[in-house]
Amino acid sequence: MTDRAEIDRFLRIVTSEGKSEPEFHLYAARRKGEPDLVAPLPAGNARTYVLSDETWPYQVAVFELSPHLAPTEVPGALLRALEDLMSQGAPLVWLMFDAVFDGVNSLTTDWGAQSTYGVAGAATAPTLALTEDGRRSAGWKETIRQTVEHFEQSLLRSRLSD
Amino acid sequence: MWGCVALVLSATQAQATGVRSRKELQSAQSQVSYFEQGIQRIEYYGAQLAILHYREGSKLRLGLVEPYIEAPVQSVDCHVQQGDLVAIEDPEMGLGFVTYAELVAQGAQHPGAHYSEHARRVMRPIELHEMGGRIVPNHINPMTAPSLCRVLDELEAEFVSRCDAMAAASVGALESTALVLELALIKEGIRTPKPAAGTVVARTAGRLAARGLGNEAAEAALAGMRSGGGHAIRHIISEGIISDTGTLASRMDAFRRIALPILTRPLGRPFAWRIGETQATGFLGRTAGRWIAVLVAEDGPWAGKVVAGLVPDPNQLALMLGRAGLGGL
Repeated sequence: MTDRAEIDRFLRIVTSEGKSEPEFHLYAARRKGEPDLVAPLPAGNARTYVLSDETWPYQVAVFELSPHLAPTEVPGALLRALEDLMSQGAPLVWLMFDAVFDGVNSLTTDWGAQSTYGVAGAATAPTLALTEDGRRSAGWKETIRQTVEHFEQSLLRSRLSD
Repeated sequence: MWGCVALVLSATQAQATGVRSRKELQSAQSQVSYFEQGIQRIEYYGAQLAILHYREGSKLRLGLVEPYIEAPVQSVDCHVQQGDLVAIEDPEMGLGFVTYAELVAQGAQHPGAHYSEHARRVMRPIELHEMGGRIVPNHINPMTAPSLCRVLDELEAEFVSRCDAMAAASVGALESTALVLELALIKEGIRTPKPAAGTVVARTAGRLAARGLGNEAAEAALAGMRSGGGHAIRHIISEGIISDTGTLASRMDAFRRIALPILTRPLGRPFAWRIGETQATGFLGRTAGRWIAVLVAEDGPWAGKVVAGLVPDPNQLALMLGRAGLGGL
């Protein structure tokens, strides 16, 4: 259970300097060329970007979401957002602090795991780590590693079947 | 619109020489050193470049920022005689100027004293202050970049406002680092003057670069950015400052062209900025009329690298300008 103080601490990190509202960065990796995903958490502002690199076998949609939520509503809303993108067919979805993302593989590094505060995949139910202790735990890093590994294997299988 | 050019320029010249009233202005215009500019029209390119077209058919490019500042533009003014003024940077008194005549007089009064002592006795510091929303110098217009803004005032309000932003940034740089603002008073080689050369040209040279990153550090900050740079520049792309077409490498080339001058010659001083959990240093600049902030990580695996380029919203910009020492803009 995440207490209110921890949520507040987390919200300070995801609230950009000069902004009054927190902004959650939700990432969804999927094969290139698949249909666009719809931003979850419609109440509030949402900015969508698609990242692609010629060297990546996948592309990544980034949703920057600023929903109008009370602090205590945040954990539930973030879980619903992860579920939402999974239900749209994204095989790997995660929440990450800004200025960290460096490709899907970066999630499994120490820094990447500590900067990731939510993850979901085909074999991983939506899970959050809103506390620093949670994000630094070995269990969290392992959860992310397994989720990413599953995604990469599914990606490989689909490429082989093409 | 262009009918007011002579008047505006005359007014500027009047200020440069301390002339205040219409009568004094007429008197100034009757002086031998007064020179009619003969400008037919001016083309503006943001706050970076103005091209003056003279009636005789020649052109003068007035660059406010590199790479548009073109050597060998050195200086131009109507009333100040070439070589009459000496710009001085004194470690204790800061920036200032003296005249040769004053130096000679000092030499006669204090034989054997060092040149710097003479200069210190008579130098008048250059101070820039705000007047009616504009940045103006206390003494000689042609020695400061804002003089160009004065010249262009009433000709193009938008241009002037942008020039003022640039000039104010220069002021901030001067105040905190005591770098010499090399401003020009006589132009040479660009246009053959008639009786006397005549357009106030301000040249800030490249000295403001001292507060940004060195070229090597800036290049290193832009090399090997995370996720090939694509994530870091997404806001710049979405704002239309960089085209979304082409390869990631081509988009990064475009970003590099924008970010390099900002990192090496930021407007104002670099400032602390947190992005997510990463502590960064921000560098402010302007591109295509937009404020851009380039953030370089101070910690984490990307320390020393650019981790984000963004177009700040009004609240963020106000905060950034304050931290950069440009809060008055």
